[in-house]
Amino acid sequence: MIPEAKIKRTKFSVIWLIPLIALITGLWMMYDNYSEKGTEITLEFKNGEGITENKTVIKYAGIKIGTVEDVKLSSNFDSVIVKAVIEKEYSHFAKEDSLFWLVKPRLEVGGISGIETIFSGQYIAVRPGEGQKKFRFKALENPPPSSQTAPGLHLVLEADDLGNLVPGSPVLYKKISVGKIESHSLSDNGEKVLVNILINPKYTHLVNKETRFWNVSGISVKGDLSGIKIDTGTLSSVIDGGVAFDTPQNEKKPEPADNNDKYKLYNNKEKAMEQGFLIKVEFDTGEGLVPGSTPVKYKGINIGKVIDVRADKTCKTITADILLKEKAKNAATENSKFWMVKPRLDLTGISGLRTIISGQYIEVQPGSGKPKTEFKALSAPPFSAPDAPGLHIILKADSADSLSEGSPVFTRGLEAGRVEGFEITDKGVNISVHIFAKYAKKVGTDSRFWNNSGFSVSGDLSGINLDAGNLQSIVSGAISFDTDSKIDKKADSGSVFRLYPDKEKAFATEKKIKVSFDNASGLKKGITPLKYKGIEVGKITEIRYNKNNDNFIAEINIYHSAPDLAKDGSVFFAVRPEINLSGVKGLETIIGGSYINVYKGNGKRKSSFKAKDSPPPVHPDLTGKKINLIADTVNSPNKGSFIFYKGFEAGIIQDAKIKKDQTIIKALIYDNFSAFLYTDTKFFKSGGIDFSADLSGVSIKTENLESIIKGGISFDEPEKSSKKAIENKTDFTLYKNREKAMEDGFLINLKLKSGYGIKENSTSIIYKGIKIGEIRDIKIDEDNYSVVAKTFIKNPAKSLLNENTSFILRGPEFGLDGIKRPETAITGKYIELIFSEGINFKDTFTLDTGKPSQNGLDITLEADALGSLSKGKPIYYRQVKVGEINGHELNNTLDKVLIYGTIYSKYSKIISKDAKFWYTGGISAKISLTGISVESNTLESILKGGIEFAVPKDKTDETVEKNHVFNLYKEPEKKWLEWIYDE
Amino acid sequence: MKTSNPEGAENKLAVCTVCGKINKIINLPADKNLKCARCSNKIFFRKKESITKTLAFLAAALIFYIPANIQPIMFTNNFGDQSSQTIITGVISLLNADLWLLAAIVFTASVAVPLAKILVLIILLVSVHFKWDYFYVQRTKMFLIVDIIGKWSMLDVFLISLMTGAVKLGTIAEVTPGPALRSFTAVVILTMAAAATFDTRLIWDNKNDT
Repeated sequence: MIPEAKIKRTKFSVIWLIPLIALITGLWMMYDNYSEKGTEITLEFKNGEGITENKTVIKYAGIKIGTVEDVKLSSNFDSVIVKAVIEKEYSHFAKEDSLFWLVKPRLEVGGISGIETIFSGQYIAVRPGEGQKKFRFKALENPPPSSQTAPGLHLVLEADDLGNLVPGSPVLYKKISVGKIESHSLSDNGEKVLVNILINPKYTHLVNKETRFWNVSGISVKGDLSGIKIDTGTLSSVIDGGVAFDTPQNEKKPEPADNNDKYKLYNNKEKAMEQGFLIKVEFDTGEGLVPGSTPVKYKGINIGKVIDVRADKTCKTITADILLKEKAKNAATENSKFWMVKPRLDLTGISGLRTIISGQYIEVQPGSGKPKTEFKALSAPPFSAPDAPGLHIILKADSADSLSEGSPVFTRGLEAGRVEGFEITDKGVNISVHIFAKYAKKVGTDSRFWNNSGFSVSGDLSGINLDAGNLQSIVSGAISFDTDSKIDKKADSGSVFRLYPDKEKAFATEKKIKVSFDNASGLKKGITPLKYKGIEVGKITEIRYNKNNDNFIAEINIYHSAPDLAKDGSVFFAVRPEINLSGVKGLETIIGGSYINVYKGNGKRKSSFKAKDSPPPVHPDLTGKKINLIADTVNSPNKGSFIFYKGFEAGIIQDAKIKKDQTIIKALIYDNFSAFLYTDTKFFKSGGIDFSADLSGVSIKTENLESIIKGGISFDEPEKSSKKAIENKTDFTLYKNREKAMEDGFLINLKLKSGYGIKENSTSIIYKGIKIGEIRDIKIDEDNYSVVAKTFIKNPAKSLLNENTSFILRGPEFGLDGIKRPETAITGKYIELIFSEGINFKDTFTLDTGKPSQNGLDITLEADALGSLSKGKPIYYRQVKVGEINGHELNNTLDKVLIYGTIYSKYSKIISKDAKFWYTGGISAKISLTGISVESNTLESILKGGIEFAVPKDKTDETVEKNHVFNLYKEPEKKWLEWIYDE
Repeated sequence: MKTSNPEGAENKLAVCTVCGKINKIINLPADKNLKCARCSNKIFFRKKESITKTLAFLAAALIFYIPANIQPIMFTNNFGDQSSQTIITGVISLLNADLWLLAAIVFTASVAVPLAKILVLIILLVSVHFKWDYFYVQRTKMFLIVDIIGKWSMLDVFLISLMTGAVKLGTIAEVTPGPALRSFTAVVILTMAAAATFDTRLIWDNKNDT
């Protein structure tokens, strides 16, 4: 049996899952979309500008929390209704107190805000508030001020007045804006202004309970002698006002500030940062006391300020309330002294000058003792207290002599102390002096004190000395002290010293000597010094006329520091200016005044001397080498003149004697220079002024000034000196000048035809432009009546002199081809040495005035006629003069002219037998079909005419015989010109 | 749903949908899968449960069609100017920008075509279910058009993806795809699936011709 198929039940197809899933997805998406929707709110704006549908967003803290969906005008067209949706998660923004406003670029007090909206588009900002949900808001015109709930530190400042603080004005810390002013109000009692400020959260840690706030509005200018300070806050605070703060240094760590803490708002930084304590000082007069201004200084540093000035009840005294800085606590003790510093100008000095400009101030001298808060000011600065550190000594003087209280005490120019007071006694004045601690150890029992007021002038040829203390000492007097030798014993306080009237007296010792003078002119008491080797070693204290001997006795005080001059053998003499035939002496005294010079002796101690009239010939105590100088001129330097070596004083002339036709000078060369005396050392007169001039320039040579006036002798060795020490040689020639002394050469004889144009000691011998010698002496040889010049030739030129050397006198030569040696017209002729090879040395020559010797090749030319040729006319080769015509004559057959010429030896090699000669010169003109050509040679030949020749290239080697006759052609053949021009 | 009598069932002939070979099916069991004698691909008289499947897909596509049009398909950010576009608003803004052709293209590809596909398939399903005896040729043609154009509806998706990838200029201009894109893609896939499961031969099953 076949079974019947069963009916398959239609199963639920799996495919239906797909739509099911789709449905679920769709529903879920819808739900999601719906739930994401967020809160719709309505904002009412006055102006919808900048608000765009679907675009303008609502932001809080920079995050988008919603979008504007719709912008429409309200029904009555006076406002703009904006519908916006706030995203779901931020829906809590839509509360009652929430504030909305449009952020766009705005110019407000603190600056321009909202600039970012230029790029990002304007947006609506929200400040969330509390309260119930609200969905309809009225937007604000402007961003709201920060409210109490804004993050940060809210503080209250109490000020006397608002000044120019405005809400929005910045709060600055170190010129950075860290907060701002929010609002202000009057205090309850109406006496103070309360300013609310907000410090940004970032900076709240900067403020603590000790912080001080002050108003930095505007610009504050302060000026005093140390400068002008212009202080501002930031620029915005200048315009808008602002508040700054800082915390003064404190030892303990202050507590941080809390919200709503109250602070005092000071007017400026100084007041704010002040810390200190108050003292009261009583003054006689209120002059110079300015509340809030007059400072209290200690050693120039501000340690406090006068806060307030009051007259006391009896109106007799003025009390100043002074605020001293904390660190100046020690200044307010029992023994502290306060006084007013005013500018003072009196003879004791100028002080307190600063105060003229900066105002007076109060100076304090702290003392020891317990702290005290009430003081009475002194009327004048106090003396150093007896217990002030340093040395307190007494000086005894005859009179106070321009010293006064406060006069300074110097040592070696440094202010080391001060005169404190005076006491008059029977014998004189006791001056109490305080030496500063720093210098106390410079005062020894041996120290000398003297009155250093005014200034002293001393001068001599070496200069003028102006000795003064500082200005004060000139005006107000001063005391100086010094210690001669090392300080053995230090002085103690209470020591007594003598005050000398001047330095010299202070260091005067018992060294007093008496010197008798015949002539006391120029010697003055108290002025004329005693000099030893140029240094002042004493002074005349007294001059008396001695009736008995008709002379003058001078009492001289020799200084402590001077060597012991009071010995037997010492020579004293007065130095006065002396001008006599033997020279000028003692010139320095013209300026400095006469003085007494002393040469030390070596004998026993003596105290009474007789002065010499004139200086001894030489220092008796000088040692050195004695030499003789032989001079043959009349003008010799005189006794006492110095001898120099390379500018140094190396010796002295002791004596001069005339013997026959020479002068013998005895001289002494000092020991330390005698080593420089060599066998070839030369002595020469120096000094005075040596003047030489020629066309090359003028040279003036002098030694030092003294030698100009006194004259002198110098010595030196020649450059190539053997430097052999002199043994026993003592005689030297004294030359007229250095050149002559250093001359290195020999004499030759030069015979002259005449002496014209030749000068003794002047006319030079020149070789190739260099002067190699000089005419020294021109004499007439009695035997043959010729003039002989002794000529000096320098050694190096010796080799030039041989039998072929010739000397030619050269002077200016005028010719058609120019003027030769024009300078010689002024400088004078010179003699030229023409050198030729030779063998033997010769020392006698004859001066040639003519042209150089006509050594050369003699040639004879034959011509039809002489033409313009004459003796001296040139012979040219390649337009260079190589010879000249000597003469001419008719030949034997009288049909030709023979012209004699010489080719200079230098060029004689050019000539060969096949040289061709022709006339040249004049102007040759050729007229031909090609035109007129004018030919000429040099100017000379145009006018002079001449002969020219050419030589063929391949000339013969045959030498030209002496009497070879050349043909003289009228004009050159082309071929010959080619020899010249075609090469 | 019962399938109408396949034509070839009487004669026991089936056409392979892959290679087109006519196979004989005589004594083979009906509930087992049969394969073509020539190409070895599955061979059947009519697609199994074609109408059911097609209907299911269509329903899903319809469901997704709603959010595809409501939700924004693209967010643009032009200098901070953020805006979102749905397909329709996109077309409108293209029209406003005078880009008629582009608007027409987008409209066609993103709106008209999916809609047309769904509608056509619904009509076809209805016609087969209610055994319409008319418009045979038209109905076939309709399906053909739907099938061919169907692929092109992915155009919009491509457009968005390309724009998103290309326009990444930071604040100046930026394009971000929106949620509608998911839905739209779902619509396209589902309609394609629906078209694939619909056996067009069912249209003709009702026709009586010899």
